[in-house]
Amino acid sequence: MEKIICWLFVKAQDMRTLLKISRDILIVTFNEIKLNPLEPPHGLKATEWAGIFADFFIQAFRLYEGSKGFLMECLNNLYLRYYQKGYFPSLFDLYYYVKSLKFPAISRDARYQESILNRLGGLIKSNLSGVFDCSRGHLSSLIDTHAIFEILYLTTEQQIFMVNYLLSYLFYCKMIRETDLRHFVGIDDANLIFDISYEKRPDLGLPIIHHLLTTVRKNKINIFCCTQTPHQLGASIHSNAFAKIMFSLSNGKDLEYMFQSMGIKDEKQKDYCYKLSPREVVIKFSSRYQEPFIAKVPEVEL
Amino acid sequence: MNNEIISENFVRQNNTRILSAFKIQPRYRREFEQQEKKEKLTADERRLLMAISIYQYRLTLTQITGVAGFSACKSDRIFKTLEKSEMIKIVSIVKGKGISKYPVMLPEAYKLLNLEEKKFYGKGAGYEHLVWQFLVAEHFKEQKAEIELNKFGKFIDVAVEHENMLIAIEVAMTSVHERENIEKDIGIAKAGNVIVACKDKKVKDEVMQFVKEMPEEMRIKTTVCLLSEILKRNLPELINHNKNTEV
Repeated sequence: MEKIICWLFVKAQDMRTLLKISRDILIVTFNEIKLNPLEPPHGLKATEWAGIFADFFIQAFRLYEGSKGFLMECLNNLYLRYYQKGYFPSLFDLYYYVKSLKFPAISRDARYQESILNRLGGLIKSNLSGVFDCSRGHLSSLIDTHAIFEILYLTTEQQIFMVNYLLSYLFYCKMIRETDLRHFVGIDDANLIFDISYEKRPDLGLPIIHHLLTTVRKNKINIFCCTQTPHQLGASIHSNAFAKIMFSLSNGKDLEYMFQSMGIKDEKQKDYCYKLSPREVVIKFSSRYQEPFIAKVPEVEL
Repeated sequence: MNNEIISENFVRQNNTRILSAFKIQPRYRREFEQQEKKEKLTADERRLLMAISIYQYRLTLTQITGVAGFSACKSDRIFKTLEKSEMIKIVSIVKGKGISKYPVMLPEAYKLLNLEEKKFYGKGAGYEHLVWQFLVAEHFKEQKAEIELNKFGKFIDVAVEHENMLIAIEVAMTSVHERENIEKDIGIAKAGNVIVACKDKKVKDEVMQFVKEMPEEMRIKTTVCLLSEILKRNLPELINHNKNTEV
């Protein structure tokens, strides 16, 4: 039988009750855990990971292509230096390396340096400083562990950075190493990560996480995105979703969006959707049975 | 759902149990600046360092570039590399409107060149102070200027001779020890005149303030001026100027 590993990204502590079902769930509060975003997944070259890291870093901190190129150059230099020592550079090493570079104050490089330092400084001198203080962190072992990531105390940028990093790592791990494990990833308030506004910025390009969504199913990863504002979710989610489940929504704009997304055209059906009772849902699959139907979610006692 | 039963302590203990099975590698710790230190010198770096070792404190970067026979662009690059790897220190001196840069060799460079480190004078004096001592001595070389002359136990920054009289020139980066210096130069070293050359206007004002409070016989033997001005004037001009006032 296929084993399922579950990763949840949540913004509340009520998911801790799952510990009553199994104690083999790690509650990641970003205190005890050690993560090094510069440590590539096993089997991936450091230089390849440099590009992936630069991608999700600039997306999380809203930087432009120029900074990305600068960051990749710095990372590649740093990987070369640390490779011989048998270590991976940490975000601290990256920060101090970038800081040690000297450029004329009016040059473009100085501007890129300033932007990168500003964002890196915000990470390593924040509540996450202890988390990033390592060369090899817990993440490679975490792949085989149920985990609940409580991201509620992170800033918006930190949340985007962290979720993008962890998911990119998982995607590439699974892409390189084929296993029997299936990963179920649940994301609360997914509109923050898969924000539609990212798809409307041709100057920045589509974030790497949106590209990865198109291939995740092949790599035995199932993403479960929850949002109260589905109209803010990117097309990459709506177009790649196998199942859409709609609970009662209060905003007409969201309802209209879901009608379109789920193919609900009948006026009576639309009217009914406005009056869904608690735990009542409308479900629509993209294959097998393709008509929308009503269902009731049973109450679960933990 | 009742999540009160899942206490923070329980979560922490459970996390510790799970994480204890995972291995991590701590961060590689080494002072990043040390990584920048060079272990070998290129032929060009060696050539430029040799030129610096001979002409340091006396010639500017541009002049040393000429002596070493490098193009401005090439030498600029090598100077930057040497400074970054802590082989040299570049001291900026404000002379009037312009800024002149003087290279100073650091212990690391002596070690790599296999040379004995030159110990320059000055107890606790900074590199800028030293450069100014050399510049002042060079300016008054015709008056047999001597750096750190020990006269009856008092070291004078730059001592010159004028009409069989000892003139003490004190380079003042700050005003902290200048009162003692003036008193000792006149009282112990028996200097006929003391010129206090100050780094900037702030230091000059401070020195002027306590010179005004000194006894008459000391005040008339003291001249206070700016370092940038001292190189534009000759000795008689400086000492015959209205004593105890600024030049």
